[in-house]
Amino acid sequence: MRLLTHNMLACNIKGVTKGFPLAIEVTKLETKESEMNPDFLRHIYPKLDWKALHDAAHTLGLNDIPEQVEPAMLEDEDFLQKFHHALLEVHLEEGALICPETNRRFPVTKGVPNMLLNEDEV
Amino acid sequence: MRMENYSMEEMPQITFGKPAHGVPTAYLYVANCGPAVGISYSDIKKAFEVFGPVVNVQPAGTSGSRVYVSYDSVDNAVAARGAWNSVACDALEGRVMVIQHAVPQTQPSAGEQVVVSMSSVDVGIPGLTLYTDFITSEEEQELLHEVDERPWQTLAKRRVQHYGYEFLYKTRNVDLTQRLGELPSVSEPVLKKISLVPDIRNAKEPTLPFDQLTVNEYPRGVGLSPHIDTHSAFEGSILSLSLGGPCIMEFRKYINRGDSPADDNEDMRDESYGNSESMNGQKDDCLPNKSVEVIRKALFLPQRSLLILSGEARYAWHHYIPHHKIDNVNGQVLDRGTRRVSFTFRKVRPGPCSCTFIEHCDSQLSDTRTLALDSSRCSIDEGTKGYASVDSPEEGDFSNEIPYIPVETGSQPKHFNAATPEIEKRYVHKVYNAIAPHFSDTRFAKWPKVALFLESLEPGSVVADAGCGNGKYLGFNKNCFFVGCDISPPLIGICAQHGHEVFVADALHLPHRTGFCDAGISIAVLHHLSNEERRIRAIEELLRVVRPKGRVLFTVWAVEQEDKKLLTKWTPLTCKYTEEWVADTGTTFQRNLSINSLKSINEGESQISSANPCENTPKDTVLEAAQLGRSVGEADTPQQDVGDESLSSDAGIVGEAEQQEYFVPWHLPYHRAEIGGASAAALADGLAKKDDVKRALVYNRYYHCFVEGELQRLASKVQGARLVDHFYDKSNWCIILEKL
Repeated sequence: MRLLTHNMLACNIKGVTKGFPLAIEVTKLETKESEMNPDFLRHIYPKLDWKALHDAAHTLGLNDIPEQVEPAMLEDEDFLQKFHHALLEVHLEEGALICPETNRRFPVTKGVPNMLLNEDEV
Repeated sequence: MRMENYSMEEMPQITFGKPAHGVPTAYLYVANCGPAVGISYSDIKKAFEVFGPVVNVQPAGTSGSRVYVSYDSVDNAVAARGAWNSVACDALEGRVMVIQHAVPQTQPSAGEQVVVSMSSVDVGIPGLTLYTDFITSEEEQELLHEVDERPWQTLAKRRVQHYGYEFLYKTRNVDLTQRLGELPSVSEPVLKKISLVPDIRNAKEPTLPFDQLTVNEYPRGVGLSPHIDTHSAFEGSILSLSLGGPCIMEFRKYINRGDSPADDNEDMRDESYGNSESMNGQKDDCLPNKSVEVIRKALFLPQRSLLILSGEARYAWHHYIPHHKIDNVNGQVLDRGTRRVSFTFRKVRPGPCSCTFIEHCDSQLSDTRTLALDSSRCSIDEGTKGYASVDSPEEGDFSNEIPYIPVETGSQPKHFNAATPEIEKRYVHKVYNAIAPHFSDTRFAKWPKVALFLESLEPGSVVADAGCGNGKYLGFNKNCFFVGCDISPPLIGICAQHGHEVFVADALHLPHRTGFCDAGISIAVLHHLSNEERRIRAIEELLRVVRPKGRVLFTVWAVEQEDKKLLTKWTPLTCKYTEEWVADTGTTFQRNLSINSLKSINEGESQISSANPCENTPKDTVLEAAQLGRSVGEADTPQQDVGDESLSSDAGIVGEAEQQEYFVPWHLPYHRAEIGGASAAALADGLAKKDDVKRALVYNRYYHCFVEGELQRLASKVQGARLVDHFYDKSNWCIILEKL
């Protein structure tokens, strides 16, 4: 699971209003390199909850994601590389995503989160 | 600086920036007009003066054929453009000019562009009142001391405390179920003073007692994004007490002016504009073809003052605190102070809002997107082009020129209570889990219409594939980011092996945040849902996760198969099973192949038993279907297959409702079935049957095939979307919806 995906996932258990962002429990990470696409990064940037990305990156051990972004940074190769790396190259292979409101754990196995709800949660 | 004292040559040249689509300014960018085409600057000034005093005419770029014309009022510029854009201009020998509004590049602070009033009377907004020196220094210190003793909640750029009810930033509303502590007792003296204020005592809209208090601490340089407090959250007046330091508060009213003539004429665009697209890669899609006028007023809020917003000031004017460390108040430079702490007193509204300011009202507007456009997304020529969503923790993180697109412009997903019906658990989920690898190997064909949809997406789009199966379409468009989900873990495992970004989820309960994705696809999914409510819910969910104007494509198997023989190989769910398993009934039919047609098939070893359809069990008919020469493996499109024996076409029209419910067999060859494990369990369970002739296990999948018009009819029951396209393609009914 990439952090881009993490940025779009929320706990959708019935009645939950504060299901985002999910906390991350890290058991195993993997880095898989991919080509950076600056245009894609600039396109995706406004959709992201940056604080969530920043905090998630921190949980994953990435400390070079700034807390705030100035416009000029989106033109800076160095920043873009770090952004790309955190957003797309680091994969959570094993661990869990945890709902901030209910503490419900959504396991992540072989890079795949299981977001299925139980019958009593829908 | 008075205009009349300067000759045109002495007027300071303004540097212009990117145009703001649809937002009128006092400046015009005029193309096909200038010395290079035989018109002097003074000719231009004279001509354009018809609409009002022209402050300046200056060249745009170096071509000599484009100019900027500066008026001293927006209205005059609008009039000039309205008269002469793209029409033959008599005053300039029939020349046709292309005229747009230009935006000065310099970004003055609010203090320079808008006059800052010192009293609310001067501002003149109905319902806006400011009381200076509302509390004493001692009272101020007491309040500050009290809140500093209490825990602060840290947001990105500021700290807050909430009392009474919790204000939720994500939904910009109050959670009536979350009652926090009572308002701190230290606020009582202030509240008492407030209750004596005439505007409060005699308020048209009752406002006492206040039951919600938000304390905000703004460090030096941090302000507040423009917003109107959600109508449905609070009623009556909103009061703000400023402590610790002063600030400027700007008020803005947006007025839709209706359609304006088409702006775009990009080949006339000057080089100085640079990239004509905004930062987020798209044209400003705020109210295309509509112009929006903004009225701006500013008020200085001194320390210890009380600001009251009621009526029009509360419901129809955005308030905004510029993110400045120093304010220029009519020439005087004023420092913000180390921090400003505001105490905002509000009264929670228990029901919907019924104000008269409907265009800003979330209770009365069915389309909350209109609200989002109205406030945060419109580009303002002040230079701070984008704003974070109201009171969000991110506010202040997105400074100038990075428009923040609020992801959750809608409400929380509606809750859908139905548990998964047994027929789906058994004849969809279990079956796909059992056949996953084999199924995946046969999913390779890419349908042209789906391909077209995916290829037409803007680069950088995030695409949700709900019910992605083996991930056939994931990554189809290399410029887009695909995220797939499916309810079958083994199928998702196959996707993951191919490096796709996927997770396991139910298409009826998607875990995606509302509005995050740019597009969605649901390919051959809805027909596995066993009642209409669930099918509608699936449509709603996929629409929910895409952004406004995002598009979603649905494809489903049609009853009207191109290869009509195919249906004979399927097991219609008979009346008995219809009752047991399925609540839905079909609509009127055109042609119908009923169970009777199976009887008429000329097959040596037909094992069709009795004449009574309701007594045929799926097992029997499966076996019989198997013996009809079904080849192993299928494509998505329910056709192909060996050319068949003669099928009696006197199947004709039988019965009333068209048969739509089917079990469709899947043949899993023995050599593909695992040894032991799932296959043995499936056999024992009756989920699969052995076909020794074909040397395959036969599973049944449940399908509700769609009749013509049904998919559209379902879509019409979904709010917040419009039908963009519908078509029939290779035995599938398809629709494309666009979220409003």
